[in-house]
Amino acid sequence: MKFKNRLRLLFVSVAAFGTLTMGFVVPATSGAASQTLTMAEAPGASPNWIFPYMSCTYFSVNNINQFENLMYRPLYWFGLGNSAAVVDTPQPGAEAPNGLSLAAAPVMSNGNKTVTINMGNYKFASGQPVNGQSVQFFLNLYKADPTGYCGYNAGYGIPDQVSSVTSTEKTVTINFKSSVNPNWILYNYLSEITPFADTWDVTSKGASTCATGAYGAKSTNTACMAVVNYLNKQSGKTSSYTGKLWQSGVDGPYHLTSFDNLGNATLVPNTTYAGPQASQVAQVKEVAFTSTTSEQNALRAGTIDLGYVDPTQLTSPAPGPGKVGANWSAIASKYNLVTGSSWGMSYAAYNLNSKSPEAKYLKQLYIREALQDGVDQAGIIAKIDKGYALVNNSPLPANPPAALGVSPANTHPYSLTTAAALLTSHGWTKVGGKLKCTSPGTGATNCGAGIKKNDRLTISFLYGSGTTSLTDMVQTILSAWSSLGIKTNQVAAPFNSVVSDCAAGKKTWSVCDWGAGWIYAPDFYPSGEWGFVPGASFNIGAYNDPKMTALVKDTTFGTANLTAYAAYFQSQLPVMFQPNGEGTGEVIKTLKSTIGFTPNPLQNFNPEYYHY
Amino acid sequence: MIAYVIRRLIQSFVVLLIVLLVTFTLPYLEPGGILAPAYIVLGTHANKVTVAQWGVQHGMNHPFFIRFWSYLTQVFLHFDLGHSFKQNMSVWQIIALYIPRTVWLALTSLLLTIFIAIPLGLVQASRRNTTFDYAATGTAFVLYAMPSFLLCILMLQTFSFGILHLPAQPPSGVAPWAMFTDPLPFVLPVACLTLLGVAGISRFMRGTVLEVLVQDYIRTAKAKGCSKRQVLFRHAFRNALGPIVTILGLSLPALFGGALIIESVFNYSGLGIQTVNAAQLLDIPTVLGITLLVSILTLMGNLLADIALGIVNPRVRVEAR
Amino acid sequence: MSTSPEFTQIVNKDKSDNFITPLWRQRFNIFLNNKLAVASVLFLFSMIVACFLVPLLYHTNQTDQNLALSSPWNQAPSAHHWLGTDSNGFDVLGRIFFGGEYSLTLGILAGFITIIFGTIYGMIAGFFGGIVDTVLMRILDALLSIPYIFLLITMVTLFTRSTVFLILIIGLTGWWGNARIIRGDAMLIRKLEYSQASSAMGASRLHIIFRHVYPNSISNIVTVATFSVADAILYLSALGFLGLGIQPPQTDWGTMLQNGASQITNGYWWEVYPLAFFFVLVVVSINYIGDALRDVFEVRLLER
Repeated sequence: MKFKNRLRLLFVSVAAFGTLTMGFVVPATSGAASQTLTMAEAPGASPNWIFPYMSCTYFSVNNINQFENLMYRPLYWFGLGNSAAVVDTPQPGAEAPNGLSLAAAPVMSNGNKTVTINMGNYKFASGQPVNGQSVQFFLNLYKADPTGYCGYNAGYGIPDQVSSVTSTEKTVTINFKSSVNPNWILYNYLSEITPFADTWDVTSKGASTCATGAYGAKSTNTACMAVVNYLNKQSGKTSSYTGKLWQSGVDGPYHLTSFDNLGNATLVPNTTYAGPQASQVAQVKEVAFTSTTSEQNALRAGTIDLGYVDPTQLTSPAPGPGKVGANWSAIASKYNLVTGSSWGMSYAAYNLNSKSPEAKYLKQLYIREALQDGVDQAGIIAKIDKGYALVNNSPLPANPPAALGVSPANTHPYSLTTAAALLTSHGWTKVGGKLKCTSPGTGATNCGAGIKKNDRLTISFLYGSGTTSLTDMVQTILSAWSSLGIKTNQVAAPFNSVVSDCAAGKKTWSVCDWGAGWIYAPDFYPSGEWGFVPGASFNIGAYNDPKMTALVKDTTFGTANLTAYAAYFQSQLPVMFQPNGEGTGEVIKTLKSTIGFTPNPLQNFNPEYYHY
Repeated sequence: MIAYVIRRLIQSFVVLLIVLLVTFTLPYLEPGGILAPAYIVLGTHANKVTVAQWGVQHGMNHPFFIRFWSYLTQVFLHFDLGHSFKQNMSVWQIIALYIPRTVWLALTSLLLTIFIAIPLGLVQASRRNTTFDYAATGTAFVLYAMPSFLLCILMLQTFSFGILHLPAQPPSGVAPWAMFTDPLPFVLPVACLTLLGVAGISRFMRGTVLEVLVQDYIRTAKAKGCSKRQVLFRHAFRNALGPIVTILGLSLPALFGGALIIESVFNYSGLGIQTVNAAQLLDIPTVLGITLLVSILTLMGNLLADIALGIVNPRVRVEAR
Repeated sequence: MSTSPEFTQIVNKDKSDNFITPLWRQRFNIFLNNKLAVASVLFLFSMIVACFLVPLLYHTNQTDQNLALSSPWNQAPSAHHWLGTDSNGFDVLGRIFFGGEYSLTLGILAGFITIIFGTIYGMIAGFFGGIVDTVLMRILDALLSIPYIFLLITMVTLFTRSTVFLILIIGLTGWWGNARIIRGDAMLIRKLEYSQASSAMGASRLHIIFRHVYPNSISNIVTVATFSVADAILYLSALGFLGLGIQPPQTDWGTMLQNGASQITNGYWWEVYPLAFFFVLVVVSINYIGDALRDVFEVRLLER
């Protein structure tokens, strides 16, 4: 029997294939060196910009939090360990010990129109103290080239509301044209200032006068433009990163000693660092990865000290918010699992742009409420996120500091009956599983403006493909909405296409979910001027509510905290809230820390607190 | 012969222009429009003004043909491939950084493939329908039918985390020639890419040799009293070499493509991953530059293969006309 | 390339000799003699039928995430779930057939698109020859010099919004190799005397294509089409690996294999090996059928 014989051989050969590469016998390599801290960079997100003044192209966690901040400290340091947004400031006075911030807490005066900053006792590697002039250098540069910095918000804060800046050796005074909210200006604008050393006040022709010029003067602006162009050009050459120009401006705990274009960086302690904690390891290595899978392989091989896993790898769920369950079995003997929330809100945007054919539905508050009632956040967290996410129902991040305000209690728990009742009471009837408007009009029991008789409630949902957890979550939400009788059209597109389609305000989507929502960093103040007032940079759904606009104004220019804004936001639901994912990090068991290992909500990286 | 080479060079240049036109046009068809990359590059912090400004900076406000023309002059007169939208590198720098990494990986595998697949196919053909032939054919069939990522992941699982404990991936940031100084971490990636190549080429070799073996001149050789070995190596092998060289030349792009999966599984940042990332980020200058370069390499490979064949076999020159 | 005498002979036989066994019959018999090829056809056929039929008999929920969430995930095979459940709580056995519907349909459709385009293009180039051929072949050279997978990924990234797009993209970018093969074939046959004779008798070129060139290339076209289907299935799986495959609530084998492979370290073998087995077997049988067909059409082997 020829047939039988051949088939048998086919299987034999399958088994034999395994022996083809058997020639190599090698012992396993051992773990990382004890005095080097090796950190895994996020897949495909490696540092590639050193100048701490960057356009949106280079405005990222991997450049700012994990790279520049290790060398160049911002004026005010936010977040350490598991704490969210705490400013750790030094006391004024020559002998006082330094905190992580380079200056004492800002002092507001003149009816919140003037802010005075008292500098601490830090030094640049060049020997120059981190003084008033180094702050003015940054402000002069920002004034000259505002669009060169991604944090720029036209018309708001620094530099657009600033009328003048003056500095002495120990103080900087900033005067505003109108009064500003102290928290807002501190969290969003003063936090973005990075003092620059005089060694950076150069062009290809030599020293310049950007640092010393008068704020806003034409000559200063010209000088600063030349400087910023020169520094951008230098930052464009990665070969210059370990050179004198960049390393002379270091005031943070680390110097960069090697850097390659793949994104691998090696940093060593800065011996002149004047902060509260000097580095306890001999060097910090940041290693680039192409994918989460390959990073997980490195974890299994034990070659990195700080890494991360995809929650889908975790077999048993987290017992509760902020707690960790059993670690991934493949690495549990070597690593501890850690988790922490992020300083943001996770949401999907609603398209309220009148050009969008489904905006007439989404403009009805009761429909937005019904949709939100159909989102089973607890179920999604338990099943899809394996417990590594938090219920999110407020624009404020989890556990905001008391000074900022408090989040309202959740008024939209998962309830399909509530959702169905809301729709029925507004003139919608479920006929053969399809929800149709049977009572058009604008009254309290009617469907609402623009909705005609027999209109079928339809929602087009655009979301990012390729991420299992996002895909599964969207499927869960859409399943629930469909069960209410809503017609759902779903379009999955690659993440970046989703971002561009959503940001461009296309009319092809009604709900847009890129999976990440908004992270309040490095403008840490969780107010809404970026997305929920007309004309805001990321108001992609064209949301416009005068009361919301007024509340946003109170929290930015006025003195109100964020409580009232958050409560109104939740009652109006300008977005669809969804669970806020927690990071799942892996820390090698031999590593110790004085600030714990909980991933920082602001994604800060403080390796100086780690030791073996 | 010189005329033939010149004619082929001119043809290759025309082909290159077509490649450029095709790849240059694609982004224009993107549903998000020509400014779509801006939203991706600049992220959620960008506003409409920033996006428009970015568009002007990158010449997006000019009509298609003007942009294409300026790209052509930039490439062919100044040898400038432009600057990446997202990475802080010029396209030349990106290519210079990643191409040696991919090329060494691909070339090593290609050489191994040739050394394994050609003898294998030859032996299979000469011992057609024996147990060995069935076993080898069966294995090649299975390997050929397996998605490359699956093969790689299974190999990784078996030989790195199961037995042997080979390194799971080359250390990050090693020099492109590290595979010769410290070959161990490269065993798995190279083996995986080689297996994939062998599966395809040995099958082709076997078929080609079988085809040659039924030709008239082989019958003549046999009739002349040549031994089986002589027939196989002197006649069949030489005559099968032509098609094999051609197919190897044609498989160059596939080799670069295959490297993509290997790079991704084994965390070896090379040209493949760069292209995919650039495509997903709509980093058009990078995609264009790499495509152009790989096309040039492929065309050069094909040209060299054809010239080599032309020297050996004058009939090709006539037919290629 | 020269024309082998046997070839002409057989071709002529095809036209005139009806008193011996017809050629197609001979070929069919050769195919039937290849038991493994017959087995492959039967397996492939039953797999296609199973993908569409089994979900009707073996009821599992494969789309409703809410229901899936209420069932336990990563369950080992049991009487209730014959091949266990995956990381989303979907029944693996049911999902193999559910995903197979899309992988196989898409592979076959995309394969057909590639062969249609390849045939038309190759025929035009090969038959008209001269400047038409040169221009068309240079364009083809250009397309062939671009790594296919790069182009595929770029296209999918740029344009894919639905399954139809995916089929079209794989189909519309996959025909270049086919066109080259068909063109070679058309050139070869065009040179055959009978079609030259027919040309001398004043037959129109179109007539020659349809009456002579096309039927004689059919053998190659069928063979190439078979391989194209296998390739399309493989390319789709590569896209699945990169997260660019068919999007939920549908799924395809590549996406499933990728999800399964990422769970393999946890020891959930049932999420990857059964599917890998079916996948490889399907592609192997398609390729084997292709090989067998090539043998059948390889006329010289008729002399065996």
